[in-house]
Amino acid sequence: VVASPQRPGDQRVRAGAAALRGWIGAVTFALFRVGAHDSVTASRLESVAAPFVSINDQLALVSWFQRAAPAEGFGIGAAPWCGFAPSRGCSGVPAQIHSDYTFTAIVGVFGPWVAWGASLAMAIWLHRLIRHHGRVTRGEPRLVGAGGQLGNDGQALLSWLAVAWVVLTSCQLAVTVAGNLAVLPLTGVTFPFVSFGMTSLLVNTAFLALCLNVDLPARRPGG
Amino acid sequence: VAERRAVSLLDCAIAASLAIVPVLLGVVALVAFVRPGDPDSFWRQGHSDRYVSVRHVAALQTFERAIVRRTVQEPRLVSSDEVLDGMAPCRREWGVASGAKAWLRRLVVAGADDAPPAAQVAAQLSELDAALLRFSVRPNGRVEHRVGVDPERWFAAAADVLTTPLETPDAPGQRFQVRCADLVGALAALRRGDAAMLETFAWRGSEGAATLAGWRPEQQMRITAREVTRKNPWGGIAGCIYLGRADGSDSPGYFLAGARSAQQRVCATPELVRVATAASGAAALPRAAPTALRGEPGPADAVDDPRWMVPPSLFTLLQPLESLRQPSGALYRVYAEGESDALARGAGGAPLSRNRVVVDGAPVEVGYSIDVTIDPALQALAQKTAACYTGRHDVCRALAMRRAEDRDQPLGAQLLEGAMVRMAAVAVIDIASGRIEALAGSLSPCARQEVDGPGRDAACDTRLPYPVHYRADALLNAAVFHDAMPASTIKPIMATAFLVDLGVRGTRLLASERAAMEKDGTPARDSLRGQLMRSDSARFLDRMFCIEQGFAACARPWEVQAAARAFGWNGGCADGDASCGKADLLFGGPLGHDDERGSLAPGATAIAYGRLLSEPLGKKLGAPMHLMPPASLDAGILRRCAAGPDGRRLSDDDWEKCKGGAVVDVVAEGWGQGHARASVLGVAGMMATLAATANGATTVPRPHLVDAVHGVAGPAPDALAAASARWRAAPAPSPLTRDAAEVIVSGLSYSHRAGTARTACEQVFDAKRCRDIDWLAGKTGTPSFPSDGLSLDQLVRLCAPGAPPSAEAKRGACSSLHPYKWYVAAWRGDRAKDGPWTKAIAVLAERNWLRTSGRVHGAGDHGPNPAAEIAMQIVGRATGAIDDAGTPSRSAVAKAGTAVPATEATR
Repeated sequence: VVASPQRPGDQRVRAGAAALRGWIGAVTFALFRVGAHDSVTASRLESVAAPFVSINDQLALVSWFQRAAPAEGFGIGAAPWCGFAPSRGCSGVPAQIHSDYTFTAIVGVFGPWVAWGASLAMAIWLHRLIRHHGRVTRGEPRLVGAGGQLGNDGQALLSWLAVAWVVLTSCQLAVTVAGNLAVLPLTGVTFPFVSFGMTSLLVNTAFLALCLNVDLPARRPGG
Repeated sequence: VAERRAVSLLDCAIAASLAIVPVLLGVVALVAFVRPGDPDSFWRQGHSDRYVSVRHVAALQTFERAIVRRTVQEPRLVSSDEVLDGMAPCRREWGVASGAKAWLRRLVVAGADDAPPAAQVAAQLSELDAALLRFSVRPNGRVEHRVGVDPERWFAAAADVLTTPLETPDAPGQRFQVRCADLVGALAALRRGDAAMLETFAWRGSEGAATLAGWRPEQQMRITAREVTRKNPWGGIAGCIYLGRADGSDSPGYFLAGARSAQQRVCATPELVRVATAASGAAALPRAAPTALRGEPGPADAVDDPRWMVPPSLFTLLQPLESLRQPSGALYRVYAEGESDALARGAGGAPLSRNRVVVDGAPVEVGYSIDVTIDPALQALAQKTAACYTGRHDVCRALAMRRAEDRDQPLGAQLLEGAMVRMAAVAVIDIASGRIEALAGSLSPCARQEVDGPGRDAACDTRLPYPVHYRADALLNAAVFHDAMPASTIKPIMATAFLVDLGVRGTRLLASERAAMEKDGTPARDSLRGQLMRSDSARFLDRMFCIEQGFAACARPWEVQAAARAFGWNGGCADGDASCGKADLLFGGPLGHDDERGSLAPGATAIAYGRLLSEPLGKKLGAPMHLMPPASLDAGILRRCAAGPDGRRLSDDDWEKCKGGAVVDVVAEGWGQGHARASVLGVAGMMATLAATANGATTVPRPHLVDAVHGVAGPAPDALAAASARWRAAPAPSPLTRDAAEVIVSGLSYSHRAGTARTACEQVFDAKRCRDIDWLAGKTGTPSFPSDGLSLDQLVRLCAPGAPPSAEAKRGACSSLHPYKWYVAAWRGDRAKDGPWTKAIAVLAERNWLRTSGRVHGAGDHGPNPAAEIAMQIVGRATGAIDDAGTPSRSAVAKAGTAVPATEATR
């Protein structure tokens, strides 16, 4: 095996990656420097910095609930969502438990190990969905001639869409888990496939279908 | 040779998707290893079990400046222009939105056409002002004046808070900035639910002078973080409070649980109930599940409400145990998590297991449970009797409670409010064990209003000479939170000093009294027993100041002082501090004896118990009390005092109006007045000690409210139950011999037959039955009241502002002293002529005023004693001497009772 010399494409990739890293760094820096000027952002940042005295009590509730959950979880149908304190209303986790705090909900019902296992399994499963897309496409959508007609390379476009969805969904997973653990501010990002209004379920299911479909050409003989 | 394939963006994206897994693992590492190292980190703060928004509290506190005494009586209407003009920093945020952003918002957000924020703020300010007006004009409100919102003051306060960064010890190093949205949120919170939050604040008019000293002059209310603090709802379930488990029984009868509380579901479970039994050593399984009681009784509870079985202020009394009862409590953590090797390991060395029970399938941590010594049936009887005598005629009817004097009229029909007394407090102690079985307290409606708010109902007599101001402590259970001069109830203590005198005098006195006891019949007038029966204070003072020595070189007052100490009084008085005369209600004994408990013990519930022959340090009123140091008393002055103002011995005024230096203070103490103070429990404890000694006990258990503190059943021994047994004060040596105690109790047993309690007894039973009752031994007491004999109209004239000085006023008629009556007794539960005394009861009652004459009822030492009546109503029903129809039963009398001729009741 002989290593080939560097090609201009590789340099572009490196430059792009560096630009991406720089963009992420700059946005993060700006978020913390100027975020305080936006009240919603400020509240979320304040909530991470001081969850038990900030204006938003949701991180306090989430952390209390996770702390109370036993290692094996409370069990299906037994999670005390509203806590044990006497109250006319529910003083426990808010209604967004269905979407923003799904990780916390899994901790409550099944315990932290299951919650972590489910999150990592989902990340791996998402990756496996598109792992071999690079082998079934040339990787760039382009115009191609076929049967005397000019068209786009549908396989590549679909593959790109699927990969983009998986990457974003994986990031969404990481962000919501980190938010539930108070490592990042709570952002309102839902757990993949799970949301109070079911929009996430519908959209993600559509993309999942796309992901599954994109493999099909690879299974055709001579494909 | 393989050509290297170019890396495409797609490849990068796929790699990125894979990178999510290590990112997640990195989060785990960050949480697990990095964040806990930061002392201010979230995970350190995560141990906090309460949440309170610093910004929300600061925004709410702007109203401390804005809510002021109102100058106009109509609700003020605030306009949005006023708001925008006054709140310049928020003008942009609260003004009318315009431009593309507003258009977009109206397009996207439903309801975006609502009024601009300034208009909403203005409307809410107007609504809050109207709510404050309603809050301050309602009957018996909490406020001193009518109050309202001053918008200009609020704008100024808000402008200040918007520019001042906040800090809090709960988040060190963090600074918080209040925003305009926080002000809107605070305003909305205040007016939510018809301004229900106003009820939770402290108001001028319902706070004591010490609190108000820290307020600004114009400040009308105070808002603290406590009102908006949110507790961890998953912090576990507070332990149970059980009542009604008598010694040897296998299950408590009742537990306290709010209507929607988790205790409703856990406190009847076998794990907790069984341990409640195991804590006392019994191993049997519970026969029946205990019943929930929904809390403490209220002044208007229905007659059949089961809450009568709960002592008022029970939660306050048990407050020091909250650290064990709440799973978030520091002491709970120590014991439950086994941080203390010494106490959290059982005999076998096994660590104490965490307290968990399963609720709805979920394991839940439960705090340590408390068994209290209260007997629910006796408590209900005592509380209902106190309520009946303070004006609850429906309760009187339900108990068929009658007084001979009132005939067919309701009890107290001749008195203001139709109440026999304005206040009644009752304590009952089991003599053998020291268990406090009842602590009852009740106020008449008008007496309650005098301390429950700045207003007095129009139906209450405005001539009553009592100041009207809010005193939260006066609303607590009077059996332990109210003290008074003990008056003649100290005579058993004085008699103890006379009889245990090691000299010839004491021995001879004891021998002669015992010889007289052998003969049936009323004690002789000049005997110690006769003087006890008649409560002859002058002859007691003669003995106290050594009349047999011509009052010379008399040390007996200090023997009385020592006797009081031996009865459990005068605790903490040796050095002079605020705990003088106080005791620990929970585990008994004086305060400050927790050296034996160690540092892992809960605090004490300090209550007034009893003090005698004490004085303020430096003789400065208000200074901490300490024991009067032994001093040589001038025999000449004593002789003059003994003769009284008329200068003749053995006349009615002996020892009255004593004058002459330090002697006066000691003589006043001999009357049970001066600086002497006792609570109902302290007086009952004194009688329990005396009766226990008469039963033959050489050591006497201290009165205590807590029977046991224990955890959930588990394989490990309940180390906390053992620890709590150690916390209980050790039994104290009896302060006198059995022979001496029998003499004193014998004298007291004639009090209702031919002595000072006879009138009261005949109100409850009848003359014949009273003469035959020999299973009761009691003592009355009447602290002097300077307005005895004066009518309310006279008091109004004498004490009006600008009224000319009068002799009555100089004697204290215009002071805020209240007229009390005491009664303390021991009784035999089986109503037998002989045998051990089983229970001790003490009652303190504040006398009421007669409707027609306007004079106070039962003036002086003569006349009816409602405290004794209350005690006899309770004892009669508890022993079955009075049946359910309120009729004294024939079997109530002593089996071999000896008829005793009635004698003049003097004192």
